[in-house]
Amino acid sequence: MMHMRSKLGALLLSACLPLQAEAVNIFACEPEWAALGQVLAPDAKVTSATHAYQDPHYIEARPSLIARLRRADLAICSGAALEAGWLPALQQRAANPDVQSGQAGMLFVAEVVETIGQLEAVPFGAGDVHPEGNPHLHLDPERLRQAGAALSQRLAQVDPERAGEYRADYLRWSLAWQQRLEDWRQRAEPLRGQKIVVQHSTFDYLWRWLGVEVIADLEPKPGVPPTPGHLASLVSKVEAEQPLAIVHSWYQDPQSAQWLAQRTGIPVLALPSTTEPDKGLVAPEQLFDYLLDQLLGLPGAR
Amino acid sequence: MLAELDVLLPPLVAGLLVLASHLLLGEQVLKRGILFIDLAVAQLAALGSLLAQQWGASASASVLAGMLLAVSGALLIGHWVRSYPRQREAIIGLVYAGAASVLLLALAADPHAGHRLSRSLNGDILWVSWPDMLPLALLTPVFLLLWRWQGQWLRGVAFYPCFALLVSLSVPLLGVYLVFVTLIAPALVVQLGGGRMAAMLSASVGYLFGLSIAWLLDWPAGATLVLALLATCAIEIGLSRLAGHHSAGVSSNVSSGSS
Repeated sequence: MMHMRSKLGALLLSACLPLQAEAVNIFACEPEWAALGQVLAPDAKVTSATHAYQDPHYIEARPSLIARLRRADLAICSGAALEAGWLPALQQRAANPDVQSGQAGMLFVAEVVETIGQLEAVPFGAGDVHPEGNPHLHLDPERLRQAGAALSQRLAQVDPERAGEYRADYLRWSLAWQQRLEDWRQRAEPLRGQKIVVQHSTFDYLWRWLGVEVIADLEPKPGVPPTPGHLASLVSKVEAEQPLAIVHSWYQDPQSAQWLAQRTGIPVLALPSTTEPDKGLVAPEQLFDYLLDQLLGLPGAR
Repeated sequence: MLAELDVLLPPLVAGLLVLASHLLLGEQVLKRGILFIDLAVAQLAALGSLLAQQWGASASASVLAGMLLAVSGALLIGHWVRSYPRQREAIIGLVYAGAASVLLLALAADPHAGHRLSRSLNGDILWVSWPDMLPLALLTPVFLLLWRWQGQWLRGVAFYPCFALLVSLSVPLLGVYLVFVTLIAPALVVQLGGGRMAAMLSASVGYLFGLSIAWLLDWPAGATLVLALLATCAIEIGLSRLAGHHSAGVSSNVSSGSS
């Protein structure tokens, strides 16, 4: 009864208040930016173009993508050419002036947060390296906070009526994030100085932040699928250095990592490179909690 | 409704534009028994533009380079097919496998180019915008007029280069599978006695139907369209066969009214 009455009261109250402006529409290229958007603009309608099991380099063209970008007030993408294969065509087809590159409504995080691995020029045959640097920067929790600051500013720009709310939400989140950073740093202490084998540069930012050393990449060159010769050349190195694990991301085929694991006895660890609401990884902090749990659960980390 | 039209109209027009020339091309392809020339030419075009990009050519120059390689490759195939008519399928198949493998090697050395290239082989009909269609929209009427007035020439020596030109312009718009089905399925309707009008109609209905399904169910448009075209063309063939059985005396041209 109590519950009913409070609901009725809320309904009455909202009817008396002046009509709220339409909720802001956020289009995220990757799930991590959708998660961040939902945290910094709780009332916004947020959609993500890709999910954790998709390689964000490539994407299937579905009609709803065009419709969703058309409705968007703000689009947020990693940038650094990660979406170069599909976003320009999508922007053109959606014909939404608010989210064209260069507008306040189009935020490329790599343009406002410094990337690692930038190159003056990409030498021929270097592989899938972006001169703009490694685009997977959301896996550094410090950089994620910078991205949050940039996103909050853009939200205030495209939806000035709620600028105050966005600012308050950001400050609250940023403060809590600072506390989490401390916790994570302490928890991750056993991982510092450990070694790891990777497949692609997806988690490079995380390894840097954790102080974990990458001793080998299953890909002979970035973006080039592992070749038998390259894998065979890794066996002796991996046996000698005894890394913590062979890590690949959820969207990658585990075959190559398992091949190397069978020959060296090093465990394989599949990690999510982004949030995945279906697996309980809704907010950004849940992703980092999960990543740390998984890494600390490895036999060599105890 | 307006938003739907805005999203679906460019792909529909692109599909019908490709259909307009590819029905005639497909009839020739079936008659000559050179089914996989389409795939070979598409591979050559993709290879040409990739190699040009690796040499530092601009986007439009690399498209031209792709067309150049496709046309010269098609001329060579045409020459070989005339010299060895019985081995034509073998020759085309080997050209396809060869071009595809060179492409894979070139991509392994430089996957960065693969991003830029991915559209030229796996073009997606949903991404097509009006300016993308312009070259094909200019070339198709010229081709249709030439077919009408210079049909002998086009069906003779000029067939292979002309085919290569149109296919290498169509594949970046529609993707390799959809171009293949647009080339072969309606032409098969014609060959099995459905008539050209019926073939055109069933493929057009296929495009309309496929795009609507993709919109309603939010499915990837390219693959949905391939299946829709297969379905409508199969139904048309079935219907015209049925009509053919009922009125055995009626010629195949007349049965085109059965759709």
